[in-house]
Amino acid sequence: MRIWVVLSVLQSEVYVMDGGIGLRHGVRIARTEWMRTRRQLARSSVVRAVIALFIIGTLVIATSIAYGFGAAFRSAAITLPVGAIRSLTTAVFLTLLIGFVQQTSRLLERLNINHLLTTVPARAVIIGVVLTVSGRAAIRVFLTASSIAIGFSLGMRAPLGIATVIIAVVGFLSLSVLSAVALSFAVDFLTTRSPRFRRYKTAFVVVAFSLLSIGMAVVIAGQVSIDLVWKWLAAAPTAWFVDLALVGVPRTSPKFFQSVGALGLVGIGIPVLVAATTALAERVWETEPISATTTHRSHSLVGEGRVGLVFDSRISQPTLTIARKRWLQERRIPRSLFMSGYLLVLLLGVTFPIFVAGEVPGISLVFLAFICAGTTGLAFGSDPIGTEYPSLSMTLTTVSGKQFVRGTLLSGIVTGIPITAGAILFLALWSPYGVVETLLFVVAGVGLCVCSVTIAVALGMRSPYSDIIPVPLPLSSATIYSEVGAGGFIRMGIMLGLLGIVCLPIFSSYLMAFFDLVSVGGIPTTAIRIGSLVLTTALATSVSALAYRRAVRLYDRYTLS
Amino acid sequence: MNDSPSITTDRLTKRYGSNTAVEQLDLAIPSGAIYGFLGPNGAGKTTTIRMLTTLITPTEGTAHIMGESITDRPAVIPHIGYLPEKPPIYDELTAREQLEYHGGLCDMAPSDIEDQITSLLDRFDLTDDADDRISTYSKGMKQKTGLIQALMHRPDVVILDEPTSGLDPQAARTVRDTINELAASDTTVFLSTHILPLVEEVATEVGILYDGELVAEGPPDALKERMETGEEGTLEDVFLDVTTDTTYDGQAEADPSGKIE
Ligand SMILES: Nc1ncnc2c1ncn2[C@@H]1O[C@H](COP(=O)(O)OP(=O)(O)OP(=O)(O)O)[C@@H](O)[C@H]1O
Ligand SMILES: [Mg+2]
Repeated sequence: MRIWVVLSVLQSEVYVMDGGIGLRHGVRIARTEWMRTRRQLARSSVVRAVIALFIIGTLVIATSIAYGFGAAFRSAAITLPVGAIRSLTTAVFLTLLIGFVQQTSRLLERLNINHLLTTVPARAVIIGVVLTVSGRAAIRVFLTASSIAIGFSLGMRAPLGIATVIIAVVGFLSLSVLSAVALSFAVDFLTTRSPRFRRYKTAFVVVAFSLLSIGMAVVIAGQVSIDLVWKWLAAAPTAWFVDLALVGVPRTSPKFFQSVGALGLVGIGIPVLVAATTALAERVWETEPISATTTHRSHSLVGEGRVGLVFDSRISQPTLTIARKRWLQERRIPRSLFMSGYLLVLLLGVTFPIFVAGEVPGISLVFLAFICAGTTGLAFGSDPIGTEYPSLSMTLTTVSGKQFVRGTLLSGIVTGIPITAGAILFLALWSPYGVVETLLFVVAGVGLCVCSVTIAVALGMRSPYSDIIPVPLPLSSATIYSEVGAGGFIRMGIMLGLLGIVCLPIFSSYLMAFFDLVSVGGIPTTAIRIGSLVLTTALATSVSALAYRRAVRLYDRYTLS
Repeated sequence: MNDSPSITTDRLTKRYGSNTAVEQLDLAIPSGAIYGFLGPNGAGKTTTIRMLTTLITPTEGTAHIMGESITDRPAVIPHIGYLPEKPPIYDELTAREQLEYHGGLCDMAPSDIEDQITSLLDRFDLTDDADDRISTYSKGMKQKTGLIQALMHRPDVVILDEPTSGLDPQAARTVRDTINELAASDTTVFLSTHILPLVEEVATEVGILYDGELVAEGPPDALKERMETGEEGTLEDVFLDVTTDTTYDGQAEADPSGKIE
């Protein structure tokens, strides 16, 4: 009996010691991850210096602007928009939460979990995860927030403000990082435990994403007032941190209960989140993920079937096979779905003119064509290396550039053209234009689709093999391969820019029409509009031809180094 | 076996910065040959294979597959079947889908694709799992899928980088038999491996790469006889002999600094 007591005391001693070890290993894990990221990004010392200068510059500017505000506030020249700051704080919290969840699942994908778990205590791994994720946050958010706080408090001549603002920022950040890590493990837990969750996860992601899109569109279209959303955000407990920060700032009236509440949130939230994360992580790590993917079913990729019947005679088999595989991949892991979110903001360009004009003006159709075509390009054309990555050495040594690019193009336009044409035709029902003009619009839309996919492929073929890394698809346990760093986004910007240039003729002519210009330089706008549709279609065709040739050449010369 | 070479390399060289991975490699491999490409870890085998399969460009020198220059990818690829170190397959597909995909890309007739898949799956004992996602496969099952993929379109030249890695003895024997059959039908097999008995059994010619350079080449029997001892050695003896620093033996004592570590 006594020996058990001794043993358990020993054990608790070990437990305490173990905490220190956990921290030490955790720090090491985080440091190694930062190093890996640095090496993967492989920025030159010049680029690093530029980035550092940029950050320092931004911080200095932010500090001085904040100082100016502080001084103005002290002389009562302005008042603090506390309500807006409250809403903004919650909005920032939600944004950070999504970002950190993404980072956490990406990190868990990168870490060699099995190796770590057989080497160090699970707690060390969790600490490592938290430190890695918060490390980047510390650099980005903490530095910005605290330099603003310092500038403002100095301007206010209220040094106590520096302390309270920084305390609030630290609390706010810790809470968001820890919530994100816990949330991310919770999703993993559901995935490993519930076959149903796993099976319907894709559907779940689709539904969640559509709801979000619809919600955004509704707010953008003005159906739900922004004020209401703003009020909800300000009422959330995360907004209490604003009151906590303002405690040390004179001439403000922070609410007492809220500022104490913020402290309470930190005091209670952190231990609860840590405990929850530990419990969830240990469950996740000790269960083998159940496999819901033993479907015992294969889809045919060659020969007959719906697709085969339609295209078989006209398109070469390798080209068709590339497209069919792309669609199958999309069914299993809907990566292009996530691309469709990027252009949603432009819906404003469709809805706003409709509200103003009371009918569907041409400019709305222009935006619609741009959104549909651009999304098709992003979804099916961009990142061709990433989609092929796991089997790239086979693809490169099996099909020619012509077949590959045509297949990718096919996968995009067969999906995109019906949607684009259908959407344009549907909206055009409420437009004042005749049949000819509407049909020309549809033709231009089709041209833009082709153009957008080809440009995207041509640009995407430039991403270097060594820059492709596994990335978890948000909210799912699926992993896709994608380019590390800003390269992908830069290419996306270039692609949309080029597509925008192709759209320029129709954009300008229908903008003129929107402002009721009847003729320009003696030419009636109707003629200009028809002419611009033809011009855009012609532009789209020639740009597509150029991009196609470029993409084929890049594929045929692509190497794995 | 006919005598026109199916793989030739001429002073083929690949450098990574100051590090030379492959140095002035000259090969002439007749069609129908089974070429065992040996060498210690980091010798440059994979690098050579990646150059032959057009996946990386040589720093210097040239190479031809069935008379086509490796700088012309569209011309080379109809002739080759390639299994890299890591099988090039998609986790989210099933083996059958992956193989149909490959067959479709090679423009094989759909009925031929079905026949080849059925017979090769059966041969490698993978039929029962062929309709499960590859993400659920064991290492060996993935390797088998990659191997079938490299062979199913009946290429002129099959290039295999460690084909038996992760395979059970039964499957390794299947690989050996398959390689022999391929060679009998005049397919050239370029085989990089660390399994010396496999090479001893199947190879018609062996090349040993050491630090990027070809240090021994010839039919296995001839190589075994060339041993300095004069006696018949095994391929392993030859391998160890030509891939250890010859300057090491007996030179420690002659070292002018006189240090012995
Ligand atoms: N992308 C690269 N960058 C720099 N060096 C490389 C690269 N790829 C290979 N090397 C170097 O080239 C040399 C040969 O590597 P290779 O992969 O060809 O060896 P290998 O003979 O296939 O070895 P193993 O038997 O272990 O597979 C090694 O020294 C390696 O470090
Ligand atoms: Mg190798």
